[in-house]
Amino acid sequence: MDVDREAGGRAMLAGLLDASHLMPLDALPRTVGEHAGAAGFTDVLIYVADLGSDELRLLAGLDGAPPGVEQDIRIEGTVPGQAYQYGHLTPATPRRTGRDGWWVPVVDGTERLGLLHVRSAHDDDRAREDADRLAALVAMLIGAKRTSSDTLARLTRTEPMTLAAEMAWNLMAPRSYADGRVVISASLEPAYHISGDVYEYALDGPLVHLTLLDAMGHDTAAGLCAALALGACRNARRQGADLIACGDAVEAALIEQYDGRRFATGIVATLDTRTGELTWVNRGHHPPIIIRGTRSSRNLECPPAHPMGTDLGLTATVCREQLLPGDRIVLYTDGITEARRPGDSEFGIERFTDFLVLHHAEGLPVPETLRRLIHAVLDYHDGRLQDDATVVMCEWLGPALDHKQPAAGLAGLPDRAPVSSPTEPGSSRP
Amino acid sequence: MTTALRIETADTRGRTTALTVAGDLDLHTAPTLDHRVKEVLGDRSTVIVELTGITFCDSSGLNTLLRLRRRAQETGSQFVLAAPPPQMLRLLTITGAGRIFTIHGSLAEARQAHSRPGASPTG
Repeated sequence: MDVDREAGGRAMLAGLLDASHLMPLDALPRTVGEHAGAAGFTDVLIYVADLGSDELRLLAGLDGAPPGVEQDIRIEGTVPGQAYQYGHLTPATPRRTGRDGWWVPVVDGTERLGLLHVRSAHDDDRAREDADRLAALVAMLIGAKRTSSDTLARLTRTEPMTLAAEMAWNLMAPRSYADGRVVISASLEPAYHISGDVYEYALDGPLVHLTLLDAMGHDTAAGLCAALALGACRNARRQGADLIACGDAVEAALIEQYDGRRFATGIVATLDTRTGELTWVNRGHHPPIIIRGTRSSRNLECPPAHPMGTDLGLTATVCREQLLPGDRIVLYTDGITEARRPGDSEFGIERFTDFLVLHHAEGLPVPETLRRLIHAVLDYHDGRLQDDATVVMCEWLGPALDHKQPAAGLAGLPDRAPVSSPTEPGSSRP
Repeated sequence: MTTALRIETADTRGRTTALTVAGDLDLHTAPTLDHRVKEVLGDRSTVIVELTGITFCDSSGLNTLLRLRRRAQETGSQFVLAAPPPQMLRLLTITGAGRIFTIHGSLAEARQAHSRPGASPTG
């Protein structure tokens, strides 16, 4: 029996992998449906989260939506939304059986893409593991095909996107990354109108480079300026430039193009995951925040050099901070703290850091903490932000790449209770 | 959402002009300040901008101030800031720009520092 189940799970994954080479994203729902049956899964539906993580939307594919199926599901306050938020396989009905359906998180790397809905002929650990593996493969396939899919881009948008935002989203890495050494998560709002903020993280052997740039203005030109600045920084770094030289490369590119009419502020940083040493250069930007333990946070002060593109001649300084495992570094732009309404107080740095420290203490996955933070900032401003509000958070876990369990929890990966080799019922586990 | 920028000439004494600026200094209003300062910025003159009434300043506002400072330098003139409110002071500090501007605590202080012939800025 177990042999059959093993073969079924394998056939499902192998069939999907084989089919994936010659398959547009639009054919994914049909293809998944065809192969999932081998592992006992029926009524498979693929939902993807919209850009603002407010809704889960059905990827209908070539065959259209099956009759009677919900096409849009709110994330806040729903069972599937909970599965998405917490990253757990979740029974779809109070009867909690596989036949009545499961919601299974679809996570690419550590980026939460959406959910699968499946009904399962079996109702045991093996079936749950197969469902998780199916979701993982679906996530990888979506990840691989999304850069060439207008279907997915349209589906994940709930409103028109500005030109500057269109450019920016295509420049940046996914909003979440983790391995045994670091957990990185980013959030940008207003997602459909960002213009001027861009972030980057890049893995470079034992080093993790973190960059956050804020180009002045809130228009298409600001988006262009940010794209140029990020390109210059990335290009210089990949040719061996150090932190100061990266900032200088951005400055040179902006002066050449704009002759002092535009500038960008930013933090250019590198974390050495072997030692936990963070080095950074501040180019006229808010100082990074470090959160340590469950109650303390402070600014990482460093004399700022002038904003890149202003050519004011202030010397750039490389500053250093020794992190402890578990420390979180937070980079942010002023839309988070200084967004304003006439006559109203701003969200403020204190409210911002209190929020982060509180949710750190609650042990929520990092991406979920940021999702809630952005919602809090948006709520505070009645859903309207005048400036880009960006947060990039990086937690250093330690030097070991294969020390994966803490990273999995912090990134909100699906729980994966390993299916042990068959044990006698009632036998004790080690 | 922007509060209009109001600019008034406080006074002109010799080659020194003091402007009082109030409202939001941002992408939408910065060109007004740019235009007004350039009008009064002659060769080897001094323009003091009194900022107490600024309700918000963003990066575009800061950029305008930086460009006006450069413009003044090019003509042998001085561009002086007086009484920036806390939010603006914070922006100047964060960006490092506070270290390159001549900033005075009040208009009177700025006037005194820049009225004497040959007076040098006192940061």
